Amino acid sequence: MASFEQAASLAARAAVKSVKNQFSPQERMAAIQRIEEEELQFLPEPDTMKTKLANMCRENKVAALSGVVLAVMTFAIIFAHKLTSYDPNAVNLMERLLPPSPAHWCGTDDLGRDIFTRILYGGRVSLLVGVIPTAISMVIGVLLGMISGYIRQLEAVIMRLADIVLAFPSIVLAMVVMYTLGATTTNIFIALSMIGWAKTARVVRSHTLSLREQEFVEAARAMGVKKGTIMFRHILPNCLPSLIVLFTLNIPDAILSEANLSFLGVGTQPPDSSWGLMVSQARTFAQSSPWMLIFPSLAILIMVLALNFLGDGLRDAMDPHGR
Amino acid sequence: MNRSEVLLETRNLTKEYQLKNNFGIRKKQVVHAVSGVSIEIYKGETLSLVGESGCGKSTLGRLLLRLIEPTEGEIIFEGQDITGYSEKEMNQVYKEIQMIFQDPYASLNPRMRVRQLIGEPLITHKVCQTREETDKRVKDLMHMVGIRPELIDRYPHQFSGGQRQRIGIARALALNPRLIVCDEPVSALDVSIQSQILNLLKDLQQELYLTYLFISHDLGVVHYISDRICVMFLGKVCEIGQTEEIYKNPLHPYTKFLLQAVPSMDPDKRQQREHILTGEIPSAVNPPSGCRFRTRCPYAKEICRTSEPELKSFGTRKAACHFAGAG
Amino acid sequence: MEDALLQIRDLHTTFYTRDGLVRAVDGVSIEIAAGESVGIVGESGCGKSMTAMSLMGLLKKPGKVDGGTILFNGQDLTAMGPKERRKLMGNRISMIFQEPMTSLNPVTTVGRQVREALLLHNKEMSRTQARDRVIQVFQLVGIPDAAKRYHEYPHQLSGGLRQRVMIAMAMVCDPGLLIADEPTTALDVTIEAQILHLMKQLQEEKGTAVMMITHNLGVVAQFCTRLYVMYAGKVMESGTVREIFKNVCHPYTEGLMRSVPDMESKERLYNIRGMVPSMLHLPKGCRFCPRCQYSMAKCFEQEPGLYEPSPGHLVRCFLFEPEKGEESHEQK
Repeated sequence: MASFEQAASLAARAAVKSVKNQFSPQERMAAIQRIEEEELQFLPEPDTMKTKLANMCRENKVAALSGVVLAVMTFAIIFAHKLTSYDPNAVNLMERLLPPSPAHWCGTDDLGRDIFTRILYGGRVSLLVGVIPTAISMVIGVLLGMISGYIRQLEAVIMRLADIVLAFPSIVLAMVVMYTLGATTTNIFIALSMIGWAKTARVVRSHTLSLREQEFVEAARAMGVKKGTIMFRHILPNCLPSLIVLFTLNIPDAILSEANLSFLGVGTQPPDSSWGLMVSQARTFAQSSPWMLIFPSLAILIMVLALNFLGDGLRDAMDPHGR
Repeated sequence: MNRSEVLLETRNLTKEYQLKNNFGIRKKQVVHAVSGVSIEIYKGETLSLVGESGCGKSTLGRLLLRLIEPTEGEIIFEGQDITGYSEKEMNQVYKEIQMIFQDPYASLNPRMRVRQLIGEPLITHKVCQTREETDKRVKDLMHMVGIRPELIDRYPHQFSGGQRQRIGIARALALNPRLIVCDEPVSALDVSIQSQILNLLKDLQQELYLTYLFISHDLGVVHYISDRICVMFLGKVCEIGQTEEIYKNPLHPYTKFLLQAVPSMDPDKRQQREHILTGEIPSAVNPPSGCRFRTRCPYAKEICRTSEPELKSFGTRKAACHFAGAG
Repeated sequence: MEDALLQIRDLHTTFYTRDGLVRAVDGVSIEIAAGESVGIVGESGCGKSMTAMSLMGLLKKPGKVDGGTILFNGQDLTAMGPKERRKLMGNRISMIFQEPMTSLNPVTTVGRQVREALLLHNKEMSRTQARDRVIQVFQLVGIPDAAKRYHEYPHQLSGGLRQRVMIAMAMVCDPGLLIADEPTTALDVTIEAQILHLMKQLQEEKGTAVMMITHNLGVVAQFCTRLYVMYAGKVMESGTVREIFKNVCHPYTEGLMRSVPDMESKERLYNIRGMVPSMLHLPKGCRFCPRCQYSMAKCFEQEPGLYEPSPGHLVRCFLFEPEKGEESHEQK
């Protein structure tokens, strides 16, 4: 073979040259090992959640700002009792329908209650309604979605159930639940969880369907790993980035649904407040005292927009094909 | 090598896929992925499955591990028919048969560290009791395949393609299997890395007395690694026998053309036109009648259309062609 | 070679990534004469595809050509405006890609796609004229039932036929230079032989120069007259295929050749140790030295120049550095 004969002559040439260069095999190995050691140090850092978030903040300023806004709002809502001296439910007929002033930053409502205070306290309900039903519905959705995607026999049953839920106008379904169970905050959670899971289940199922065909899932099967373990160790962690995004995008949905329910009178009950309820109550005063309508609407708007921007930013940051 | 000892055997193994029939508007279509394949794998040997895309070689490899369920036929491992085994019984078989995958990027879960990747079979089959024991075994395996044990906490994307394939090999070795199905383990790798992995596989075979079923389309690689080869075309075995014999004197016309199609490394030996096979690979949905290769075969006669050639013995090997051995 | 069709001189292409500069192409000079077939060989990440992308002006974002000239027929492509350049691309210089499925639009018939490519550069041509020409080219590239295939969609064709369509699209304007980026890697061996044979035939008939980018040394031995071997962004060895295959000089090329299992011997395969260095962090001195079995002290310190052991055969290796007193062929 031509190249093999040539090797002998290359080696011979190298032997002559290296004698002239006075370089022993030991020195050579040491030099090589030094370089390989350096290379090892230089291996890229893993793309952890932390670095991904840091990159997102650097590259997507809107998303980063949205994150800050959400943090501030959450903080204000949690520490509402420290931030304001007014009682949200104390009626003061002397100070009805006052426009915004240094004493009442957002004015007062028809019963003389401070609107800023009510927004802060109402935010508690809205935030809980945003987070808890979303979390519950996502847990249900992830489980059912993963099962229907991985275990073929159950697919038809679960997905048809999801289709039924999705085929209903969600607000009608929620109203039916609220009317039958009664209008309490817990029941809002139940109602919203019941309609929210189907969307998550669909997303997770489609992820599972594509992941189950991946070689690493096949490899796990070839090792005799059990179905449940495959689902929780191999499939679920790889769905996680989309789930985080989905979570941020589902919260505004839930907040708006609660607002709709309250507006229709089956959500939060007076004298407690939620943002949706405040908007609903303000509608009769929209012309004479617009501040009653504007400020709670603004709170919903900012919260929903910030969550959407953050969700979009997270989606881009988590996408492994994004860069 | 002990010829007489068969480790795994397939009898008339068949896999057919039903295509959706569009609400009965179109006729039901069946993809014949693997049709009646009977092969034997001897202990300690490397048997290679060779063929072009769509010939069913990867499907056959997966059928052996029952990652795909066969439509028909039997798989006999160590004298036991494992075709009807339950999931629990199969788990015992997985200790003995392992698999190395083609794509070193897709076959490792991107969200697991090397420690978990190689440790997973150990934990699944409760081979190692304690965490320390598992770690030690993982590090030994890493050392065995040539990855520095210090890298145990890295994620797969921090490694190059060749190193990932080494991780895949370590994972396959973790349970001390006897048979490893290698599905195109080097075709995604660069030339210089490919030779490293091939040599590693050869060394491991010597050391651990492994048996390989090596699936590949690269005839150079197959020549280097295998003791026997099995050439497949459209789900059927064309020719099976000792590597040297087949490379020197192919009996089936398809084998001959396949060998001639490999571009030679010698610039003075340029390919002749008459050595190039014309036409495309026929579809597995409606394979040609009779001999499946006849539409591309320049020697095809009437008999090839009407009757299907049997796999006939010619000394130590077998070929499925009406004219094999007739010159 | 004064009358070269394509002259790439000292081309530098850099990717400005978040983690640092990646010099994907680091001072590459390549010449291709009219009608010649030249192979560019190397492993993944050696910069062979990036050279072609720089040439075609297809570099994606953090990448930029920041040095060197690309002369095509005496015109400098790097100095050209995008509009002028677009006129040349697909017309005088065309390219075929590795994956024939993803480079064709799945929702348009193949005939129409090739016709659009033709009409783009021949504005005066009528549609029926263009159609007839496309069918003619389809026949030329060996597509059976060309008139029928004209109306089919990419998914209806097999991989081999799709690559033939890609070749037809590249050849429809009779380009002077065809860049083929791993044109047969995704194909089966018997189909690969068909496609290589077709390209050879077209090249001889039309006098098109071909730049064949591949990792397969067999393809180069079969197809090309000259060859450039690249490693980590630099040309390591260049010369005629016959010269390099018979008288290999660079240790990397030698290692590559000996790493390929051939069908004659079963001797243990040669291994090039280690792996390709990260382009973000290249070793000092010669880029290949940590993997080279002959490396000397000098190799770890200095970068070798190009030396000429025999006329037309250039090697970037200190083994071929002329000694004092020897005649110097040194290039730079």
